[in-house]
Amino acid sequence: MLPTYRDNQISVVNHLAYRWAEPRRGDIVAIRFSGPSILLMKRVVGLPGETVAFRDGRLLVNGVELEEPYVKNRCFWNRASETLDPGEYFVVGDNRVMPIEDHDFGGATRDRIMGKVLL
Amino acid sequence: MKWLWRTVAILIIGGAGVWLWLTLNPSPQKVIRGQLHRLAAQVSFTTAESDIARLGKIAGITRFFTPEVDVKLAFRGRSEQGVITHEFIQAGTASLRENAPGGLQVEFLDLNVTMSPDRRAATVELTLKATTPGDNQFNVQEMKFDLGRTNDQWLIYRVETVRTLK
Repeated sequence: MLPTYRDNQISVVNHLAYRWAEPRRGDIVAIRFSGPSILLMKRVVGLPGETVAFRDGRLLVNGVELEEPYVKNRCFWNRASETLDPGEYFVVGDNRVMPIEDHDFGGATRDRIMGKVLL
Repeated sequence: MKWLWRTVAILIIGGAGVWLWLTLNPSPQKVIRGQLHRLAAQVSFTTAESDIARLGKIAGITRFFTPEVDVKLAFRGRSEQGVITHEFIQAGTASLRENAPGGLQVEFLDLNVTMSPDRRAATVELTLKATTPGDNQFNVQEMKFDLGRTNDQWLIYRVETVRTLK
């Protein structure tokens, strides 16, 4: 999540944030693997039902480029458009300097989103 | 006051009985968790290991698996699918050691065990964490193991990687 968050930085996750509300675009969320011991930190960029694609590093949501001021290093990723299922959120990190295959990103089902990262 | 002491004594004896029963007859879930933690320890190694210990651990890795194991693995754009044998598992374990000369610590976290209705098979979803000494980063991969019960032993017959993000 560089440059927004550094490696080994201690972060606080609000586990109640999505108890009565749904994740919103731009939120940084904590995503679980098979349980809560290790969490991924990613930014929500696509909401359920939307179509998301990367074209030459530009993120397109429903065919329109999304303004991403938090991305400091331009990348040249390409990924075909895909429509998110109901209850599925598209998440990606802010650090996109690495090759696309080395970055963990994609659709996260709602039950995997544990909370909102506050700090 | 006599009744109070009797009640306390009965509770203590009853509690000890339950503890003893659970210790001698662990649930299949507990046995499976223990088996997989032993597998993680078997795969882990340090540079301080003797050659005998190293060979013993490589040879012993097969006791966790059926003679043929279905694998479906995908990681960082690479994927492998097929059936592997004990020899292949041993060769893979040896190769892993060659590629991690500084040692490797493998842990299985957040094990979710689901038993089949007849309780002779189980599916375990878990998070594999692999750390190399001296490195403050670690690798994480969500995995799914299918195990079957054969002669009172739980053996792995299928291994899959799970995509956390699709």
